[in-house]
Amino acid sequence: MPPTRKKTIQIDEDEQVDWAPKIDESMSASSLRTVLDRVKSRDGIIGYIIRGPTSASIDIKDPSKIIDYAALSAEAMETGETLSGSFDMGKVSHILLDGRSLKILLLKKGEQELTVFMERNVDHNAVCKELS
Amino acid sequence: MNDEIYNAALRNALSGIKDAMIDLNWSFILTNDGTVITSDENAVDPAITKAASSFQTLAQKAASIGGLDNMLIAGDKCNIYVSSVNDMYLVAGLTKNADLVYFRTVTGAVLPTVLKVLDSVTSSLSQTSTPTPFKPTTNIPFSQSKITESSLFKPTVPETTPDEEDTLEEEEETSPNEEANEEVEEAQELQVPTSSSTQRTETTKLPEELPSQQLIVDRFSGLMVKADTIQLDVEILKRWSEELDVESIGEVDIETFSGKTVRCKTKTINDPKLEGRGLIRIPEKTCQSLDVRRGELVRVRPVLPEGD
Repeated sequence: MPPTRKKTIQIDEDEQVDWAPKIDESMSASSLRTVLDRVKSRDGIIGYIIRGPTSASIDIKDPSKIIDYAALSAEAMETGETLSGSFDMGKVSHILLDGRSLKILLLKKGEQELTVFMERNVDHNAVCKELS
Repeated sequence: MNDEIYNAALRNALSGIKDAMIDLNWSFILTNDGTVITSDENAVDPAITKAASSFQTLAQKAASIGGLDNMLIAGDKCNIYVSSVNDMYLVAGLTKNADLVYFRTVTGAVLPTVLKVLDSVTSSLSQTSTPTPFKPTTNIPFSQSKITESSLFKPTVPETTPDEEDTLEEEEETSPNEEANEEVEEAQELQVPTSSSTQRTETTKLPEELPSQQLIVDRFSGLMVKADTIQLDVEILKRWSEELDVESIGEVDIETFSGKTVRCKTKTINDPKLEGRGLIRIPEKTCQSLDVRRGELVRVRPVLPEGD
């Protein structure tokens, strides 16, 4: 029956339109998350943040620090971009922020911005290599 | 010792470091409140101003990781290395293959020594003579924040009004040989409490920016839920109202990563399980209009009540 078929097709199309563009994004984000979960299992890794153009997810061991870490991560990325623009540095490959209690590594993978929080004694080069 | 001498000494130190390191393109020093106190001659001022202003916010937020010790921004063409020296930051543009260990060694030895010498000279001068009045730095007055107590260049006398500054500068230009005597007189003149204290209040209040915070979205719905009312941690609302010196924060602006913004009324989170977790609870309808989902981050800014 034409009306029913039409309706079915319409629903399918809607789902396609809704989901199709996001499949790639979620796949890349999920594969990144797999790598990040592997990284997180290392000693001294405190957590990570993935921030995409439309979504972000945070996995930090201490939930009370989530806000501060998220704000710091966003600010560090912004500062990196400002400095790279001001001083003609080219594309920023990564940013390493060394705090007095811990350090954070920020890098961009496509549209995803990754931030990994770790103890000061962690080899950030190894983490960077694994994520790149 | 005035800040000009201080700046000159630091500028010379930076030149010395640059001579010792061929991989160093440019460098400048920032105090931890973001004020540029010196720079070498090849650094570009607008870029420094922009960088310093951006770095200032970052340094403040780095309190969550125990304060900023150093930072490396690795670019395709060159690197920027920021290292903390006492309560200042040295920002340096290095070539891609620069030896960071060597750079750290040189700067870690030279700058603290120079600062220590300058401090000891300053303290010995202050013991033997009347303190020199502080003149606002002529370098880059971009900083919108208050000068912290720990700043090396904290004023020894109350700040002057712009008119007074102009007068002082003119006087200095006309009779440079009598600078020391005049400075003492100026210091006495400047210690008139009424005008200077008023000026200080104005300068610290004017540049205040609205605080903002990134929060994680939690969606909620219900029959009696108003679409224009979000829920926030009582602590956040309390902190904002203290920072902005208002009784309460009735409204906030919510901004998503895609740039959509909406203004909502505020309520405190009433579920104890959800308190203190950095959440913003947004009604389902508003979530849909903002196109945000649970777990995403949004930037939230308080709205000042009208009349404040």
